[in-house]
Amino acid sequence: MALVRVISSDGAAFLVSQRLAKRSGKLKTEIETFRKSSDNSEAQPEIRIVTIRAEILRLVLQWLQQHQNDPVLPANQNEQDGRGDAEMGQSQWDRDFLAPMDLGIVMELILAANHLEVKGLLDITCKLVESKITGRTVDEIRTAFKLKSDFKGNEEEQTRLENRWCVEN
Amino acid sequence: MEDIPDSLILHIFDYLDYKDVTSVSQTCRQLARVANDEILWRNLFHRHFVISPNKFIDPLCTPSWRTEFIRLIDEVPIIETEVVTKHTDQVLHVAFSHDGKRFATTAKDGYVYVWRSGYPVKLEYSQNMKTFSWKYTQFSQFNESDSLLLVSGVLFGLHSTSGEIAIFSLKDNFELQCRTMSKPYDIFGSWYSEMFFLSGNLHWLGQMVSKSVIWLNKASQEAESEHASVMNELYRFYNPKASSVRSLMVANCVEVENPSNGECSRAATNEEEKVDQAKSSQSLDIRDIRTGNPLSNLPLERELMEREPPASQRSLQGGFQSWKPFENVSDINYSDGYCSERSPGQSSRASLQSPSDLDSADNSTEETCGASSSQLSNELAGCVGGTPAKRPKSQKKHRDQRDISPSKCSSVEDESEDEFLDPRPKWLIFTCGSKTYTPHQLGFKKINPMSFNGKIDPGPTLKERIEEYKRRKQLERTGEQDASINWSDHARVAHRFDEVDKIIDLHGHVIGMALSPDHRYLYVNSRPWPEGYRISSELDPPPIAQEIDLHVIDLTTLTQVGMMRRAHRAYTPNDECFFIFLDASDLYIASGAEDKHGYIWDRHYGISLAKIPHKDVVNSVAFNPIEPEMLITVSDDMTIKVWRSRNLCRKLEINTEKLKFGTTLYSVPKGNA
Repeated sequence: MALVRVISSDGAAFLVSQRLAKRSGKLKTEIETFRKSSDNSEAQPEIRIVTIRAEILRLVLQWLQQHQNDPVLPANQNEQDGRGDAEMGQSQWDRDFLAPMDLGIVMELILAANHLEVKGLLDITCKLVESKITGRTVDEIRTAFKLKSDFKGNEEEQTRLENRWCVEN
Repeated sequence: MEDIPDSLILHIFDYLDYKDVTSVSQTCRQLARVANDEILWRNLFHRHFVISPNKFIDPLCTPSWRTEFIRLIDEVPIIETEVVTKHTDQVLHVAFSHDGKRFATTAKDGYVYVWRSGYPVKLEYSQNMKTFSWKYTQFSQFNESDSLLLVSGVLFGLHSTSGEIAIFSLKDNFELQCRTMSKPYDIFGSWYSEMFFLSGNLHWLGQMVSKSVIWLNKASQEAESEHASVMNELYRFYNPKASSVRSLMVANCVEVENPSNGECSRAATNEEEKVDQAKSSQSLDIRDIRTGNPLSNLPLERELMEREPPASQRSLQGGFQSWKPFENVSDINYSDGYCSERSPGQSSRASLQSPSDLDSADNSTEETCGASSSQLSNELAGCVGGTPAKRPKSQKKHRDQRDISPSKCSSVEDESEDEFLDPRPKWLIFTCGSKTYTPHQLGFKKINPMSFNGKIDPGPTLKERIEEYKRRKQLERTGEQDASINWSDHARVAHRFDEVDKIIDLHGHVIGMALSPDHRYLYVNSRPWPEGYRISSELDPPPIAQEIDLHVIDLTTLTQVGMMRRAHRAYTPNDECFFIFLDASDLYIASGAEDKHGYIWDRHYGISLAKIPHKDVVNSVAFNPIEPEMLITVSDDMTIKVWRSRNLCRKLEINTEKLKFGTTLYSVPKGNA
């Protein structure tokens, strides 16, 4: 079985099958690039992901492992189709997978899924974030995402007035 | 979230409901920026209001999807701010003044009320028309400067089909200015210009055949001279198959930018063009049945861009789908079966009329010269109470263009050059029919600028008239009179009538019409007939559907450009079917319905926005033309309801907590409350 070494930003190396790695659009491109530039077809590719730390990379690979037999979702699907897939793709396993994570990890996972072009993972993580926003007040959202109001002067009041149309209904 | 690029945040936001997006936008500057993204709001808009993703933004509005979104939530009049219970019977009609400061209501209780439209609305004038032997008031209309109010009603009588129009001054303590008979009563009447209005009269010519005469009336009657006329005959129309002209309406002709069809008179051009129009409109119709949207103020080019796939690719639903867009009145063959019963007065009329110079096929000209018209007026319309006069020289230019021999118009030419009553050419719009007595067609007649003939033609003396009458009676007894005139044979008598410039057949019972504020579009409520229904007798009109279809006619081309088959309903059968009035603002359409609700649609997107409840049939609706976030509905439940938008309620500091809201009609797919 052909393998590939994937190295995180903090230097941890993961050895995974190329078949699994190719389910990430980004890794697939990297593997193919490596092939073209290398004379030895037997050589094991090594890919360094400088933006993703080991903890997150492990989660991504774990998710890919679980979903290795899912049909590959084209990354350029439009939003409306994508939403439908996210509903479909969210299994009990996914829910258990995401449940223990705090929002900071989820945000990192979103960035990683986006960078590695793993659409299925991106969809479920975005959906999770969405569920943390839906139906919340402004303050609740700030607390959940550890956001600080950085509005200046009367900006905050102005934003509130601009959105008053939405409050009563 | 600070580390996440905007594009990814947008991806997350794409899953959110608009309320959540606005909440997020208030948390911090980055998210506020992202939450105002146009594409995000476009997607939210299309999803929330369930419209096709290809739909363009309303060109009349600020080019922002977010602003559009807010408009449809916040600026639609769906809060019941006032319920006025002053009428003591079914309220039939409501009309706003042009300045938006007043509105008038008419009802079965015989009263006309004029209200000030501030918050809350206040009664300003009232008049019980039962004191004028009216059974009830049914319609009203303000003149352009809002100085006069036209009120139309039904005269008392068990089976009365006669109506009357009364004019009241709004400057002068609601003083009565004049009254004119009008027949049938549901011809309503309409202002033509600041001081002149149109009324109608109906004369039976034979079995199932009648003549509708449209009169131009002066809104105030000076008493000085009995030789000063107060009304001029404007048109006479031929009514086959027991039909008649009803629901008069006057629209200013709108100029279109496009030079190729920039002339209002386009509709009166050659047959080929009519065929072209019919064809193109047919394809538009089919498209619109599919999308269910009326097209609005879009340039025609854009309408073409929006065209959707051919009809064959779609499955249509519902009962009455096959749409026959046009049927020209001249195509109809009148059977010989309708016997040639003659009405009194024909012989004298025939003798006074000049024969037509033109062949009857394309004869659309007014043939009658002033003198005969006046005589006829004396005979047939003398009962009206006003003093009839010669025809206005309105058609003078018209006639010259059409090569009528000048001698016929000599009496007209003699007149001094008076001022035009109104320099703008106008469309006279009305309902009519060619198959049965229920109104199923729209008639359009261009009114060129004209002046009013104030001088009266004294006509024959009383002695002459008595002799004429005796002579005619004699002829009738001996049966020698003009057996040649068969009124049922339209082709042979067509030259005695004004030809309608354009007829649009709606294959259904027309129950209400409204103009867009710019007078470019006509919106029509119609209850469709079953597809392919064959009418066996004009006295037996087809059954009508319970749905009300909304048709949109472009008055610059006189073609149908849109159609909407939507939620509003009516239940009454044919012979009891009454008017369900609708109204158009620049942005919205509203209509009454028999299912105890008023309905509001967006004109541009064509989506139904809300239904607003009454306890009984909603007969009429009117937008405040200056503040379209205010809507009035009137109902058989005897109430007048005032509806305002959330935005307007905030401005007026109305506490909406305990007020009733209408129901929004677009579906929200995500189920977020």
